[in-house]
This record gives sequence, C-alpha cells and structure tokens, in this order.
Amino acid sequence: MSTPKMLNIDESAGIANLRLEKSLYPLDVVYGAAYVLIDRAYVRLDKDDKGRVLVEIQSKDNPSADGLNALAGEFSNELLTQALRRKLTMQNKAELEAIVTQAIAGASGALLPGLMDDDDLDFLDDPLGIAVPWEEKFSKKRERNKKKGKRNEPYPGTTPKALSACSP
Amino acid sequence: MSLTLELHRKLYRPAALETATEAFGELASISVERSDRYYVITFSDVDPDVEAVLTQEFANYVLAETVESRGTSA
Repeated sequence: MSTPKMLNIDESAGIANLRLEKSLYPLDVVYGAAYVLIDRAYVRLDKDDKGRVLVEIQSKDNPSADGLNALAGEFSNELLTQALRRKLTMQNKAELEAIVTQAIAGASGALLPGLMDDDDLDFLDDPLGIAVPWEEKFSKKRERNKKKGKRNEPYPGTTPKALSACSP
Repeated sequence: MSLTLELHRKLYRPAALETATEAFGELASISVERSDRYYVITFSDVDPDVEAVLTQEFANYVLAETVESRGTSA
C-alpha cells in the first residue's frame, strides 16, 4: 500500500504544493496557517473533487528547492499549531465565555442575575431581626416575666455551665 | 496583454474579492466572472511594473481579507 504524498515541490515553477485531508485539517486551521505565511510567500488555496484543500506556496524571496522545502515545513508546523489552538479554544469555550461575560458585566456596572433579588428591600428593613440589639431583644421578655412574678432565666450563654465551658 | 487568476468560490469570500478589486483598480482593469467552482478574474491594461507579481499579490490580498473577515487571524 502506498502512502499518498502530501507535499510536491515543483522547482522549475518555484512552487510547493500541499494536499490536505479535510478530516485532519479543518478550513479554519488552513486559513490560520496561510495567514501566518503571506508576508513571505504567495499562498493560493484550491479544492479538489474529494474536498481536499490544495495549497500552493510560492516564495517571495527564495524560490530554490531548499527555500520551498523550508516554507512548506513551516506551513505544516503552523497547521499543527493552529489545530492545537483550535482544539484548546473549543475545550475551554464555556469558561472563556463565562469569564468574558463577568468582565463585561463588571465593567459596565451591571449586576449579575441573583445579586439583584434584594432590590426591593430598604436599608432599614431587617427581616431576620439581626439589627435589634441583644439587650433590647431579651429585656422585653425579662420585664414580662417580672410582671408575672416569674423567675428570669439568665441571659443565654451566661449560665455558670456555659461560662465554664468557655474557660480554658 | 491580460492575465487570468482563478480562485475557488468556496474558499474565498465575495466581499474580500470586491475589496481587492477596488484596492488593485489602479494597477489594472479587473473583471470578475463566475464559473461553477471558481471566480475567474481577468486583469487587462496591467501596469508593467507589477505585471510579474500582480496575480499572486491579488490572491494574497483576497486570502487575507477572507481570513480577517472570518475572524481567524491566527
């Protein structure tokens, strides 16, 4: 079984031709690699009947076989780099979107959903009763007990047993 | 003398081709036709100073515009 040749160099025309399998190199990857090279080479893309992408690379400076080989090798490496970058981007897409969303929301001063649920509360509202001083909260009960002639219980946490539990 | 360039329609964006046609308009008269699979671009009245590299530079320009418009610059 012969291996299909991916690279062909036409030295007389000064052109390196690459044939890329669509399943291995998505179009985004090919575009990315070509873009990196276009300052040093002329790159033309084509497609064959099987959907494979054909890449024609022509050096701007060094049309020799060595120069073409170097460009083709660099292009192949760049294909792999772009493919890896694409894979990582897709893997981390959800996290990236969440980070960007939070950054934009923070920069614009908007609150995220969930933090806006308490908007109808006034600053004086105290549904949990946490703003009532401790003495005030328990003094009413003590006064009621006094009137009824009942013996007041010590304040919570101040019984001898509780105090001894706190001591070292 | 005229030059001809063929660019695959599934690989190059028409908007990129239009931009390139405008950008290179001073160097040649450019006409674009569509075949089944290709944009067939014909350059006539070519500026002799750029004749040797006009089609390649044009193809590069269209490719760069296509990539940038897709948001895949790297």
